[in-house]
Amino acid sequence: MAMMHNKKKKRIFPRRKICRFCADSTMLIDYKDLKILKYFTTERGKIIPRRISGNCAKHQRELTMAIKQARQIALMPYLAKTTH
Amino acid sequence: MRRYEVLYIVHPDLTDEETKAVSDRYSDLVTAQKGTIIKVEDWGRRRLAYEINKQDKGSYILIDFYGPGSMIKEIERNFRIDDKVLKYLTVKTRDPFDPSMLEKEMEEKARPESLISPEEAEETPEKPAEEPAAEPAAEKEPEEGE
Repeated sequence: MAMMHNKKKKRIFPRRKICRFCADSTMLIDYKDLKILKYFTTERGKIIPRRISGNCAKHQRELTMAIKQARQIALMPYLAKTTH
Repeated sequence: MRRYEVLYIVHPDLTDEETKAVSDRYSDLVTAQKGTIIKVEDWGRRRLAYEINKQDKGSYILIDFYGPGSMIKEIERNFRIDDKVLKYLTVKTRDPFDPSMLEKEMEEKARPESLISPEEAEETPEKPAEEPAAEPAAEKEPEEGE
């Protein structure tokens, strides 16, 4: 059991993803820019978590805020209907 | 001085002229409240992401302006009374705002456009990187369980 445990200790580190907004300073977070906001939401309209998108904390915070603002003014859906 | 942006939705049943009248009314209101308008954008009729007052379309109008913070209260009060306006959103874009910053911004705006195109092209191959990322995360979980 102990041996098995040792074997499994070899951890695979996921490739460190880079924050898109840090890498490209011309990419600004704006609640009016639907192209960018849509890219960071699922089909259902949910915000994609940081662990998947690779955004840094600062930009994820700004992005979340922008998406929520866009939702308030009906540019983005709170919940999107998916067609099956 | 603070810089604001107000985006509001006008009822879709109004004619273009009536919509323009509503837009002018609010522009005048901003000026009357000692605000200075930087620009007014008419986005035209768009589909709303969800229904508001049984309407699934609306005309979006954006006003970009700067002025004292106290004016917002009066503007929003008017939006709330007006039933031609379905919804509004006020966003503070810069605080404090110095009107002299505006000139600098205009200069900068003219420049970066040439920068955008090469970097956008670079971004496309990055897209598939998202999917393999999900896998290592899934592999990790059973490890932690033991």
